Parts: sequence; structure tokens; C-alpha cells
Amino acid sequence: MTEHSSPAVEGTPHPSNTRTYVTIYLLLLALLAATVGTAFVHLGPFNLAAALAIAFIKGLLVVLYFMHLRDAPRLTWLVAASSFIWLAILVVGILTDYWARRVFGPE
Amino acid sequence: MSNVGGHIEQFDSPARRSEAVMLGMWVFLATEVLFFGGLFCVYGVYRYEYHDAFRLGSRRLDLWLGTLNTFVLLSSSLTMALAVQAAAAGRSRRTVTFLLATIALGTLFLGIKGAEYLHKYHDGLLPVAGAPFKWEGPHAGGVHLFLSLYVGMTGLHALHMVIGIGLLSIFAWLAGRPRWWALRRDSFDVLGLYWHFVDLVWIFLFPLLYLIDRTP
Repeated sequence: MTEHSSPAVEGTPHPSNTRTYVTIYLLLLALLAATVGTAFVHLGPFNLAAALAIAFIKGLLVVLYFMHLRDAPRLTWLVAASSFIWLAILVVGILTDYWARRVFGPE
Repeated sequence: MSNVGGHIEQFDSPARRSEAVMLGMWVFLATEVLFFGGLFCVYGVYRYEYHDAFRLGSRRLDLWLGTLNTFVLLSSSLTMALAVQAAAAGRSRRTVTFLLATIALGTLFLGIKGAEYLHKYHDGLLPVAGAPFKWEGPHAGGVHLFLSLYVGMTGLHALHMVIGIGLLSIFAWLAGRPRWWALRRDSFDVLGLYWHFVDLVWIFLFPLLYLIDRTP
């Protein structure tokens, strides 16, 4: 195969250089070690909170840097954010229902 | 339809075209978030209802293979990001190299996952499609639920990986064709978004399934 070079497509900015990607990758690995580590410690309900918090940070790094949301137009931000807002409505709505049934349900 | 400099005439500029392409992919990913979200909801409800069973079930999953697989998948996201970067710079050989690396890591992930499934099957802990379920002790029903969710959620994730590896293979093949390359450069960004999304799902699956309680 021959290396065919052509100028980068206009309007598709990829300001992230290799160094940024490797830094994000190393951060993700550090957070992986952290999430495995916290699972070995007795934290009660905070085990779940810690696991979710670390997963959110990891997810945010992936979305912002690997998926380039950081450099995306506002409309893309809106679509990305709305998917998680709808997910939050789904999860919070259903879980409060089950929680309320147990706490206030008929005895 | 005329094609000037790689952009189709309904768009004012290649940049507009690229924005539209990416926005379309983000909308698709939003539907994927809610698709997996339904399963995460089911997981949340049953984890609440069968708290102890989920803890016991989670301890039976192979923590080290799960961690290794997370490492493999995060590494594949790095190689994917580098492939997209190389494609944007118009460097076809480097693009193909990183696409092949991503395929290799994705296949390794599926291999490790398959080994885990096989091991669980032999232990009677893969309650799917009529496979035997063996559980001594309390909470058998809840553990059955947990393991069913484990198979369902990781299985659906693995299906996305299989589709992703198929797409990566097609792109690795097409990347060597200059004519296709000139027209469809931003397709690599779309492929990248898909692959990173699959990684994103695993980032949440891993702690919720493998790490519920590992305290000694």
C-alpha cells in the first residue's frame, strides 16, 4: 500500500495530539486501579458511590477527549447531554418508585 | 450528484457536512444510551431488591480477568483515537496500523470474555438458554437473577464489540483505497465514536458487575 497524503478535511479539527491521548489513557488506567482498589475496602454504601463516581470521571474523559466532545459544536453537546438527562429521568423515576413501594407500601 | 472536493452539494462546505455526519452519529448513540439504560435500570431495581444475592454473585466473577479485559478495552480506545487522528492527518498507512491494533485488542477482549463464559458454564454459573445452574446456600434465586443480568448485559456489550470489529475490518480494508478515502474521511470519526461508546458502556458495566463487594 502506498502512503497517500492529502490535506486534512477542513472543519474537522483534531487539536488533540498523541501526547494528550496517551495522558488520558494513563489517567484512565490510574482510575481503573482506583476503582478496583476501593472495592477491597469496607465503605458501606459509599462503595457504590465511589464506583459510580470513578466510572463517571472515566466516562467523561472518554467522551470529552477520545470522542472529541470538547471541540464539538453546541448542538452536539446538547444531543450528548440530553441522552444522559433522559437516562437519569428513567433511572431516578423507576428507582424512586421501587424505593417508595418498600418504604410507604401497604403492610 | 456532483461531488466537489469530497462534499456533497446540499452542504455549504465540507465542514458543514462533517458536522451533520457527527451529529447524526451522536443521535444514534443517544438511542444506544437509552437501549443499554433500560438494562442498567433493571439491574438497579434488582440490586436494590436482592442486595445480598448481588454481592454474593459478584464475588464469583473473575475479578482479574475482568480487570485485564478493562485494561485491554481502554488500550483499544487509545489505538482507535490514534487511528482517527492519523486518518484526519491523511496518513493512510498509520491509520491502517492503528485500526489493526484496535481489531487485535478487541478480539483479545472477546477471547478473554469467551474464556470467562466457558469457565462459568462449567461451574454451573451461566444460567442462560437452559444451561444448568448450581448454587449451594442461600439467595439462590437472587444469584440466578444477577448471573442472568451478567450474561445479558455483557453479552449485549460483546455483540456490539463483534459489530465494531466487523466495521473496523471493513475500514482497514477500505483505508487502502485512495478514492474512497478522499470522499469519506470523516467516516473514521464516526467509527471512532462507536468504538469509544462501546468502551464507555464497559466502563460502567465493570464496576457494577465485578466490583460490588470484594472486601476480604
